[in-house]
Amino acid sequence: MISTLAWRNIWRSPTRSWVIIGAIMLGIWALVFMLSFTVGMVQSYVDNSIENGIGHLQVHNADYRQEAKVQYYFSTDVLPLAQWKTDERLQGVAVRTLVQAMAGSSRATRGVVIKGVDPLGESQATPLSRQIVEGEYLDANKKNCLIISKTLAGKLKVKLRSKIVLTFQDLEGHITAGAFRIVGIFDTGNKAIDEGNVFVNRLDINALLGNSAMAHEVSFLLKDITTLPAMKAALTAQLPELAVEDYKEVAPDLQLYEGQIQTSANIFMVIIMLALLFGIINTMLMAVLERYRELGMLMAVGMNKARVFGMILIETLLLAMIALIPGLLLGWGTVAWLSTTGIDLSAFSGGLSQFGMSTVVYPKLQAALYLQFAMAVCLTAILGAIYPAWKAIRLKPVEAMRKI
Amino acid sequence: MNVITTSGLSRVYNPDTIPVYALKEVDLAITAGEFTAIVGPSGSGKTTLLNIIGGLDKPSNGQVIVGGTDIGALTDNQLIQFRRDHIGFVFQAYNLIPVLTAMENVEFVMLLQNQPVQLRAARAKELLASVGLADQANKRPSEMSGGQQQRVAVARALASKPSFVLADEPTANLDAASTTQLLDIMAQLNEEEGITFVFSTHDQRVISRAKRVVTLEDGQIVRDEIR
Amino acid sequence: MLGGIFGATNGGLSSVASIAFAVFFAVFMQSIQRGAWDHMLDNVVNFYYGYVQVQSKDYFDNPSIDEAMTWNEQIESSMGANPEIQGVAPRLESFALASTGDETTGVLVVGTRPAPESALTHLEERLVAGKYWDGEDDTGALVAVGVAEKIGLQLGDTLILISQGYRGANAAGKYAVKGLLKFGSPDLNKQMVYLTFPTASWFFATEGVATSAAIQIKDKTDEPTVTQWLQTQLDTTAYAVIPWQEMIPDLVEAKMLDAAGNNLVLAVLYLIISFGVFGTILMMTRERQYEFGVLMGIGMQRWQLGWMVWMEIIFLGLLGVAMGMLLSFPLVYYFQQNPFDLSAMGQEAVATYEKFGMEPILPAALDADIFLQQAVIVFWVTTLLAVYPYLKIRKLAPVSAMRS
Repeated sequence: MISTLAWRNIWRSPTRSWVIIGAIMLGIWALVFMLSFTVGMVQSYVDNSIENGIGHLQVHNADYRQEAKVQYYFSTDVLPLAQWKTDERLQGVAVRTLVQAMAGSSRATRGVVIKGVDPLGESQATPLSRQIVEGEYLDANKKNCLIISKTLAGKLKVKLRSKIVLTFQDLEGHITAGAFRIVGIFDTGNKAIDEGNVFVNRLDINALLGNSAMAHEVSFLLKDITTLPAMKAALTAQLPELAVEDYKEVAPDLQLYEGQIQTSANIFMVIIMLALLFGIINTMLMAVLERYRELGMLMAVGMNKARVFGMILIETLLLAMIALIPGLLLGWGTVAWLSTTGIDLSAFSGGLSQFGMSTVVYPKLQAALYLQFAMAVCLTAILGAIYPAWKAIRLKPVEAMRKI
Repeated sequence: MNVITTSGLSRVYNPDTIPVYALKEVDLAITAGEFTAIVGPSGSGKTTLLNIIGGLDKPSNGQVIVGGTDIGALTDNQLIQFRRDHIGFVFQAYNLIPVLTAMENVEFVMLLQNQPVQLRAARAKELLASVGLADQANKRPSEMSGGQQQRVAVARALASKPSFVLADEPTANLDAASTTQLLDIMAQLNEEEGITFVFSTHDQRVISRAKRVVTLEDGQIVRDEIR
Repeated sequence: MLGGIFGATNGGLSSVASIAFAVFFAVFMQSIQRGAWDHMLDNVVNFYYGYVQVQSKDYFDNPSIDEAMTWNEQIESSMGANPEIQGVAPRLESFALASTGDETTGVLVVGTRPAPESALTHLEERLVAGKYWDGEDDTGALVAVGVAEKIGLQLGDTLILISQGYRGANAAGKYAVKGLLKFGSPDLNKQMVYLTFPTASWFFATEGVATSAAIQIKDKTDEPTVTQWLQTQLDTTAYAVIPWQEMIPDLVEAKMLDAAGNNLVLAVLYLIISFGVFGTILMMTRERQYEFGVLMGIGMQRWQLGWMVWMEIIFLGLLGVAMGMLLSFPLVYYFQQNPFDLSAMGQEAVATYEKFGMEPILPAALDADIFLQQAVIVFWVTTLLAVYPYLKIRKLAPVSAMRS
């Protein structure tokens, strides 16, 4: 009956109760929305990074990871390429030779990284072949062809079919140069990738470097991320001489970002819960003070302090619950809706591509976080009830009933 | 047998500055089955006496023994429990919980005593019937008249099977018809069930129905007549 | 008068506290956000670009040395006519390969004039080893530590630069490393090599041209007027005057995006707090029906009553603002003097910030307008909330109000 009493007490001041319920609902909704947005942003960044070249797993010569020197290559003879081809878990395998170089056109010069790739493998492991906006993708049978981003092409003032001279050090340390013709222009939408890379056939660049069976990197894209630990173990066993790393090890910032989600969740949660705490204390305090005489009577007829305290606590928790469920549903609905339509941030596209994020963010949120928010709201309600409830049990029935 | 015994009961306000005696050396004994009115002008100490007997206020000096227990020696929570189990209250106003029905109000004290549900419901029905409100069981206080509310309060006061019922000016806010009706019920319960009533009042109609009238003036008993 | 809002319930005090919390938090968050971005933009703008640059009209879209503008003493001295302009640093910039013979990396070679460059970007203060140029004829190179580390350059070593010169000329030269520079921005650290203007002209085979000129102005807030003035001074068919926002639009957008996110959090915070304050106003209005009735009974006009209540609510709001400011000021001041050092968060955090070209340091900005902004927000929110009691007062019937 204490719960019935508490429930009915809530509706004695419906407007006041609705105001605080509204505040809690808004708080939960905002929490879900903001955090799902953050998760969406981070996910887009992580996915972008994985898709646009990092892949889920990478293999290098261990020394190359310490210092990206062209001499720290490995021989492609050790790679079980045929076996990988039939591995059901793999979406694509990209073998790359990476060289720091100067890219010069007749008009300008820029520092770039040459990515010597196998056209087929690269197109399976990254979306590069689908990001061609002009001309065509690399062809393994055509010699000395090159694809370049739209941005870099603009900076170098080159067009399709223009010639580009790449100057770099070969394995012996000699400065060497090669002329390449632009067969395609791509646009990944990621500024760092677009401005810093040109792609050529791996065999062409290997020939210039002086070793046809060399590579610096293998990148693996998995069909299903859950197979990552098993795949990593398998690769480590297959390639004992080489360093096998997952994307978090390759790009520690990705791990940091994934960790950042929990931090953001905590920060948002504390801010909003603190704001709600004020409202809850305020509301319940008013509810207690307004019922001073009645509480006095209840204690006079034998309701003990624990029960009075409990009643105020239950009232507060009920208020929170009334807000919590629709608030979470509303948040969940919003996220469900936006996760299909996405939020268009093209107004900030420059800023986003600066940081390697796509302009459309698809919010999403882990179920665990919903649960965490629900618990946070309950905890806030309990904290918010303590002072008003304490105030209620401290009253002296005689004085309380005498009060007008 | 004495239900209530007070000896040398005093209550002083502002003892350090200008002492005001609300009660001064009051010795009073009330035996089971009494129907006693405490009367006196405003400020004579009626309510203070009732509050102390009911364990709502503590005396500055003296002793209150209710059913063999010295209630001055009880802690706050023990007092609350003592009131719940031994004393029935009917107040002037704010008697009922506004969000509960008449039935639920009567059941409430039994709930506090942790009595089983069926027993609660049966007894609440019985009590409401005894105050003539069987048909009002599901109404909320705001839907009832002042007289009906006070009768529910009496039913509630009896719910815990207390040693006695304390009523502080129970008719103060009632019209003549309701007053008579309430007094009839109280008198009937007193006579038929032997329930002890102690009530304060300055309403002549109420005083005339009392079997014993204790008159207070300036915190002292000036007259104690049994009719 | 204030008795009304503080007297009957503790709601008033709780509202003040909640507003104080919101203001405190908003000020702190805004200050850190702005401080961090200003610090970063300053790093890039102040220490490299300058707040305004003059370039040839086509250079911005096509930053090639071939698009260099005509530059001479006459143009330079004409700019001295504006008292806002403190100095002019003409530069000759292009990409080059920097090599020690064994190791090579891509760098940005900047030819500049020793004195104005140091006055503008404090280049001399960036030295961590070696010495600054003795004069314009000094043929030594100042190399960023990141570049030196990458190719293993020591002070006094010979640096080989290879690039494409003006109008297709071959550019190659050997320069002694005269000093090592350390920049706050990791991007600059990884690619800067400085020569004196005449040395660079010789290297790139140019004469009487510069790729850009950074303008030093007294107060960065005067940038728009200086930009305008320069546009009237120069032949705009040949020259372009570019303010810093246009030089780094992506960073400016990224800052806006970050600010938009912050504003969303603050909007939610203020909204929740508003709910709480509204709850208080609601109760206050209900509790004081009798008082309002009496006041109208003794001849107070409705608008006077409304005015009184508005004043009370505004006072309540501003009291909260004042408290929030008093609380946040010392904290913001502290973090302005002692910025957050994120390197305490570990190597990953530092690496992440570096990846985005930021120094892992977050100072707070102590700006009056951030404080003022909160006062304005609270003023409008409370004014809006005061509409509710006013509506009640408009419908108030004195007699029935007094009876309740």
